[in-house]
Amino acid sequence: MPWALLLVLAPPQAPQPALRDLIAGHCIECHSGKRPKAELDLAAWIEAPGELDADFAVAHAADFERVRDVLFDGAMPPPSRPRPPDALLDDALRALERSLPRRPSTAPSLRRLNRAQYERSIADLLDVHYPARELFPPDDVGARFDNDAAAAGAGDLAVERWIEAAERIADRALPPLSAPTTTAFGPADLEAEGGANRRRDEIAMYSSGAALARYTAPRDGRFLLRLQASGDLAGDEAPRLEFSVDGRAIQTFDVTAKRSQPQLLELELRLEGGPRELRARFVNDFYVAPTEGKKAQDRNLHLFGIEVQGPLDPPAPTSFTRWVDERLASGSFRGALSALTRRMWRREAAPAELARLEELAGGGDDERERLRRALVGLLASPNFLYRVERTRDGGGIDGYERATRLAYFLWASAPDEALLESARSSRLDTDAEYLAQIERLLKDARSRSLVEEFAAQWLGWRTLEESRPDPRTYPEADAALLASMRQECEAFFEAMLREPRPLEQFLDADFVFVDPRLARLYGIEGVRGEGLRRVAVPRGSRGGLLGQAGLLTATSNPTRTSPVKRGKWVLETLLGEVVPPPPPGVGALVEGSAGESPASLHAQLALHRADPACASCHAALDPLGLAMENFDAIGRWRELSAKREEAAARDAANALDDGTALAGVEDLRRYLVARDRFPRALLRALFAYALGREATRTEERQLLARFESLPRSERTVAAAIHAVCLHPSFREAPPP
Amino acid sequence: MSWNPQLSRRHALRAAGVCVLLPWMESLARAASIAGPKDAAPPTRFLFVATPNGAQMDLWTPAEVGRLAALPPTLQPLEPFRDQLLVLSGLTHDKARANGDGPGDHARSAAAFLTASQPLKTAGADLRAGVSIDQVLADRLGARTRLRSLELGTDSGRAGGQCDSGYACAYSSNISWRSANTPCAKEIDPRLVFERLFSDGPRGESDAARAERLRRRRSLLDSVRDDAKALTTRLSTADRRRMDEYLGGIRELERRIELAERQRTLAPADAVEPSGIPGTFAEHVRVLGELIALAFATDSTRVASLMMGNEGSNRSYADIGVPEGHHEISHHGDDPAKRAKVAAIDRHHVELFAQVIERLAAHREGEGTLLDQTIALYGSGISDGNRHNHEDLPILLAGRGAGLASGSHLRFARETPCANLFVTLRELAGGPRASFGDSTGALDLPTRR
Repeated sequence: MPWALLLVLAPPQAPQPALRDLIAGHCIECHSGKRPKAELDLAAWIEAPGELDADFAVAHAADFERVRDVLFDGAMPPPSRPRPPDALLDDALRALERSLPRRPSTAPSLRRLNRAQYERSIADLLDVHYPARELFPPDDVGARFDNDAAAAGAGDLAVERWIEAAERIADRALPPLSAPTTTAFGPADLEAEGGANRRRDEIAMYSSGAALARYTAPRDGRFLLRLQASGDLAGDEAPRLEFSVDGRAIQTFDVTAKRSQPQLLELELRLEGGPRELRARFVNDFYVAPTEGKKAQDRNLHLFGIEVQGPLDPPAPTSFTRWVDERLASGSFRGALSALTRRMWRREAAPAELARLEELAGGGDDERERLRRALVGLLASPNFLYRVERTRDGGGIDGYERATRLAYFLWASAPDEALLESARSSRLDTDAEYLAQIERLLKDARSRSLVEEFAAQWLGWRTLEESRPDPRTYPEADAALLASMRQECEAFFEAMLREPRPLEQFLDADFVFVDPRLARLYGIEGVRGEGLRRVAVPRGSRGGLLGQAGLLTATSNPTRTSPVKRGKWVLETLLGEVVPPPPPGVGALVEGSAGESPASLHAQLALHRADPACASCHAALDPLGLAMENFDAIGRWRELSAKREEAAARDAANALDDGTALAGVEDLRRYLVARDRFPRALLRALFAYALGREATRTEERQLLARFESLPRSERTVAAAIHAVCLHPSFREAPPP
Repeated sequence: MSWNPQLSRRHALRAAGVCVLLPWMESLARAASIAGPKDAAPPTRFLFVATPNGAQMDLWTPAEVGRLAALPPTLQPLEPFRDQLLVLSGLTHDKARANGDGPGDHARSAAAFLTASQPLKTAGADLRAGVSIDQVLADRLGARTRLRSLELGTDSGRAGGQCDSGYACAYSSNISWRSANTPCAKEIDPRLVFERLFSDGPRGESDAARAERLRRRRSLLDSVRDDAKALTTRLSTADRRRMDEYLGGIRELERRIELAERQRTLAPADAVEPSGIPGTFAEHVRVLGELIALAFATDSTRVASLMMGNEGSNRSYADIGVPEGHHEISHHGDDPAKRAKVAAIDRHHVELFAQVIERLAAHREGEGTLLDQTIALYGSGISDGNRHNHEDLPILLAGRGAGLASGSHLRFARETPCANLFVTLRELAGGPRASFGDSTGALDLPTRR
């Protein structure tokens, strides 16, 4: 299959006269004369002597684009007119594209790693989990994805977080092999909480209270803790001390020793490197006030100190520390530094750069420690934080840059050693190796990022948690159900990615993934036990994107459905069209003025069509969304009112401009399959995700042509990914 | 104003050559010899709070101009601070209007709110608005504090999808702009804000270890700056701008090291470290407000901004009986039941702002309170959320910083640019009278002098 895609790489030459033939035969009748339709006069295009040359194209650039767009979309000639032969149309389009002036582009050759890419790269390169998604400022969304090159800025806060991250990550990636140290917390170093008092020589706990030691563990490892305590006995239990780390209870001790001879409590445990809260809490206070002749009964706990010793064990080896140790053992420090730089910067370092890093590494015998210091510099450097593609005269990107593009597209992470080696040896420049690497990357578990980063944003379930269904209207839509919805979306896309399923199944599949929660929502019986499983359903029912609760919920308002949002989603995501924003001055008649019940919603949306300013778009938008009204705002099936006038209002609103009636989701499904726009929408989205910018029309066309050269049954997600990887703009070209 | 520093018991923590950063007046005496001349009077702080989707102006605007005798329904939660308020009616953000750019009022109004500049309509590439007034003030006031400024909010930038009618999401989710092209990312996690304010190395770190750590940090910054400069020579203009942003961030960290070498920052003993993002919106705003008060009180920064939701927010307020989305219902179409719900949200936001003000008022500073040294602006770049108009905006000032005389309702001529207020704020901060955004002059605000 991939080889079939390769064959169409070279763009065929198109004869110029095609454009003229097309215009003369199919356009000129309406687009000429005193009042040319759409104010587009094409007379000059066929009257001009000789070829339509570059100067003519520059002078008419705007019209060239318009003509190309409507031809490409098939919007012209209108359906009522004879259709030009496909070959003529194709040739004319090619002529248009080739003669269009290239506009200067602002697409940058620096692409900052976004938070997800950073987190994934650190995990893969250094075996460290660093929660960049929580710690770094959010990435802005540009061309639909949060990895858009142009939208990736760097404010002061981001830089601060990167520098901090570099220091912390290096500490954890290459922890010092230092001997254990002992830290003692006396009463003055402990904090008293709740019913505890600090005294000169103890923390006294008279009622429920605790003593807190804030300890910074130098790294992950085992630690020995010693607590010195005594208890005042009363009631039928011994005073109990609960020891916890960061609020998590570890062990409880009965403290029976007297003050004069305190007890030593010992425990050994694992601590994660970094600041930890070690807490000793008195958990069973007991007090009976004194009565005549009887002394008060008062159970208390006294803590005299906490001592922490560790780390006791050597740091646990990781695949990264082993990699470092091997290199240090078998070669020079400089050799190891050079290899580490290639790993982190995804290219060979220049001598001046290595010298700078050696300076940062400082002196000393401990080579691992020196390498750790250099690693801080590697991580904090723009050469790691940004994917740099160098400007070359006339040439494309180099092997390393190609490897980097592949890895961040298919893994949202850094290239691994094998991919970098393939780049270094120039093998990656060959078709066979390039295809083999794509296959390898797609098979690797890291390609799951295509589900979690690409599809989650493209199909829209990433905003599911933001949609917050109102708990009073939809009490069943709790966090657990929302999580199930997201998992279903993920599982379905992953199946489409990994199994040889043609793209049509996105619209109509004969299976769903459900757990008992979703099965209940969908009315599917016989699903028991935790976790998602694949369940067969008849075609034309729940299967496919249109029936997924996650997507139906993400496109709803908190208390009700939103046919406008759903319509926009269908138009943009499934049909790949760009919905223009509402014209200036509108805004008063928006969804807020619609009622809560579906019936009045239809009546309100009918107003959209009465206002010409709204109708131009809503006529295309609303019927698509209204066709999904059988799904409520959390994706549950509901029957719509059968009252005659409400049904009539519904039907009136549910017809598209071309007369297609969309009475329900069934009609919508058939309509979408027949339009066959989904492949284009997917290719466009993949391209934007891969390159961090929207495809130009030319690129889009090339992608589509290549993809459609495959037999229908082979047009899968994987094939679409191959088409993008093999497109010259991805594989060869420097940024435009 | 004379100033009598009260030394705290934490004074004992002071090590040779290193000061513990304490509330402003306490560090004053000690810092004087190290940090050069310090202010003779407590500094003025500036806070900017944005509320999304406008307000119902009939319930916001006081009936009478002049002395604030009674507060209108929406502003009633501010009653305890009535004599600390200046309600400013009639201000306009013309740059939030379409001016030929079509729809996108929400994105535009947030972008123009503190910049008074027309944002460039773009979905990603080439963001452009203007430098915001808080950042202009931070340039003046931020040089001697650990953080130039603090930008906070309750909602992160959007995680996916589009924002508003062809405007990049950055426009809707930021009000603070460091440069015309770079919004200041805002922090939403209170724990991270606290750490940023007060974590200065591990507890119990020795002076020597600390000095070594700062030295290493400095050489790291030197090294990556060289990397960035080496890259810059080969870049296009747009990419060079990206590297300039990076270098700007590096410079800011270098400045902070210089400060850290002179003084050490620890949290006040009674400050409670927040544990993460609170579960409810109201609690979230409350905790962020406390952090702002803490940052001001410890003179960690003098300028802060806070977004109570991104502009166009569709948050559901089930807690106060409004389960509908905020944006959705702000287009109430004059339906009385919906208007009442929008009014409830408007008032709720003012109530949360009043809590922030209360924190400032509760902190003693010198002979008055922190609020006496603060100018806190509250408002929106949209007037009526139903109509999306940008004249007669809901804007008020709380606090009497810089000698402001408050307790009144002022009405300015129609179409008076909101930017004129920013011109005045800059003057009040000791800056020159200079134009800002689309300003046409300065506002005449009453002062006590």
